[in-house]
Amino acid sequence: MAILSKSWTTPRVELDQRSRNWLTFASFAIPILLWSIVSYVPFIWHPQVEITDPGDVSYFREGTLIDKDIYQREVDKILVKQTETDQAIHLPKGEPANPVYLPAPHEVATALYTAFTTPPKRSNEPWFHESLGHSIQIIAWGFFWSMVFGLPLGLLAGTYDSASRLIEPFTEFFRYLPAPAFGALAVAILGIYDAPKISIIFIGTFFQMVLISANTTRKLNMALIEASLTLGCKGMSMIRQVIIPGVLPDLFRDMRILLGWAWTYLIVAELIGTSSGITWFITQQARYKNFDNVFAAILIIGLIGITTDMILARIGKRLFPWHGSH
Amino acid sequence: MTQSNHPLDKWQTPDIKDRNQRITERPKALEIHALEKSFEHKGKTNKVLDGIDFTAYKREFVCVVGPSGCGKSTLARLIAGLETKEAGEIYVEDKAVVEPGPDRGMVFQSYSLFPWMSVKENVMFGLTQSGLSKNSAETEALQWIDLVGLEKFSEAYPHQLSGGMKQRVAIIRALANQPKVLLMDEPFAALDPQNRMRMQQYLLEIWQNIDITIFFITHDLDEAIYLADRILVLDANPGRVHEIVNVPLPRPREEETLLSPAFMATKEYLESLVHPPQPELDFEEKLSMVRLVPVNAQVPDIF
Repeated sequence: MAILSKSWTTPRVELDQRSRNWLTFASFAIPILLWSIVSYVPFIWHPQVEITDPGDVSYFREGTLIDKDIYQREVDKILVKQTETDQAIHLPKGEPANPVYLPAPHEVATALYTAFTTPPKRSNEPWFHESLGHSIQIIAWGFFWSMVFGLPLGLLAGTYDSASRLIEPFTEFFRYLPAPAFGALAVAILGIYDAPKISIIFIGTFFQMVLISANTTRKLNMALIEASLTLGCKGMSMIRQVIIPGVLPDLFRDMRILLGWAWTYLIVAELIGTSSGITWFITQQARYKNFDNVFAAILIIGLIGITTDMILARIGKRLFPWHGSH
Repeated sequence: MTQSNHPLDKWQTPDIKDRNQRITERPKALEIHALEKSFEHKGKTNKVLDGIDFTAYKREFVCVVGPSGCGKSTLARLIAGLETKEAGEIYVEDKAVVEPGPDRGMVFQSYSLFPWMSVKENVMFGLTQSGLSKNSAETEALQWIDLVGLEKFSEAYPHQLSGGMKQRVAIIRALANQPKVLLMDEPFAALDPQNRMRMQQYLLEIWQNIDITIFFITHDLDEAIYLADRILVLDANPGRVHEIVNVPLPRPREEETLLSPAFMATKEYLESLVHPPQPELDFEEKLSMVRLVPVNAQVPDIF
């Protein structure tokens, strides 16, 4: 068998199930493998030394991480001292190590669990799952308000050229204004708690949503609209009975993509006012140098993102069985 | 009398003549007067329809043929009210056409069924739009579905149907509204020949049993002759009425009709109208250029 089967190298040919599973697995396995190599193979990278025995160096402590060249300098110093004074010496010992900000896979894997079980440092601080819940709440509210205002505007703009001319130019302009730039303003207007954070998510997704849903609506097959016209359907009745159901599957897919964007705005949003949610957790853990927890938190954002997307994709297939196969 | 010189005259039997005569005595279903329409393309105005005059009578089956670009689709869309006319008048049973409405049903070439609705819901759509209650719309829809033999598929969705079935649903969806004129814009063009034949028979059967005038656009001359009472032949660039041909075929039409001498003669005549003889290309010379390419010696020349 050839290493690459023919279907892998032919443009736009669908793969068989086995190859597909295999490649999906590899898409995760390759980065993890690279990470493992860097973490576990001692002669690859490992720019620091973890002290196992401080020896004669006064400031070395067991378990501290020292840059390789500093370690070497200290060892050299002791060796020089030995040749000069002929005293009995005690050389420090250590093992090559990666810096603290690159924990090994197994450490992060345990942190994925221990992050949830470690109580907060102070009793008034939230547990990890509470931080996470707070973040999800911020996203949900921000995205909800975006949909409440963005989808109707998008549908109108996609249906009527007049609405499109009225709505889209300004939206197009506003979408280039970076949402985080409104942070200070949002705090001044909405206070320091959740409201400004929700508003950042809203600003980050609303304008995109209007434009994307308008575009999706415009792509609705004109024949459907014309057929409904010849069947005596027009105005609001057409929007309700033809346009909305016609574009719903595509809008649903758009929302899945936009929800991903909402997550990218989350971190900035949560830094505004009083730091909160998963961002608070991450900055706090970085301050304690618990980088395994930091990695775990970041991974969990990814996991939440991909699982919600997969669930929504499933739901979409259930809700719109006709879609993709007309 | 120029009529006596018409090449199809010898096929016009007294029966057929009499029938055509009776059609023209019926009330007018569709009247088109001096209709004009042009499209703008890259700053150039292109006149697609230039002074079309035509009258279709009640329960008549009219087919429109013409070379591509003659604006036959545009004509149907203008009657439907999906395009705005530049000049001229269109009347459907003496009512001027200004916008799309349920009195002119339309069947499109692309399957325009609502994919999120079942067959039944698709057929019910127009009925509920006109204010019928859900229950009576459903009963009526089911009768229509029954008529085209799709009762097993009334709960199916369009993506589960074959092309022919989809068009059957599209036709009854338009008919359920009881339009005065049914406009069909190359409705069977995407079907394979066998299905197309079957759909044509279906359509004739339905048409014979209900009170409907059909205005059928096609580029398939066989189809036009097989279906139509009269064929409206259009010229291209600009679109004008070239001739209105009375089809010299008796009804009901069977599959054998397609082989009858009258059919052949009509087809030949239409062919000459729609595709006038083209100056012949010097094919030999072009071919000799191709022969410069070496021919595989293992394949012997059989000519």
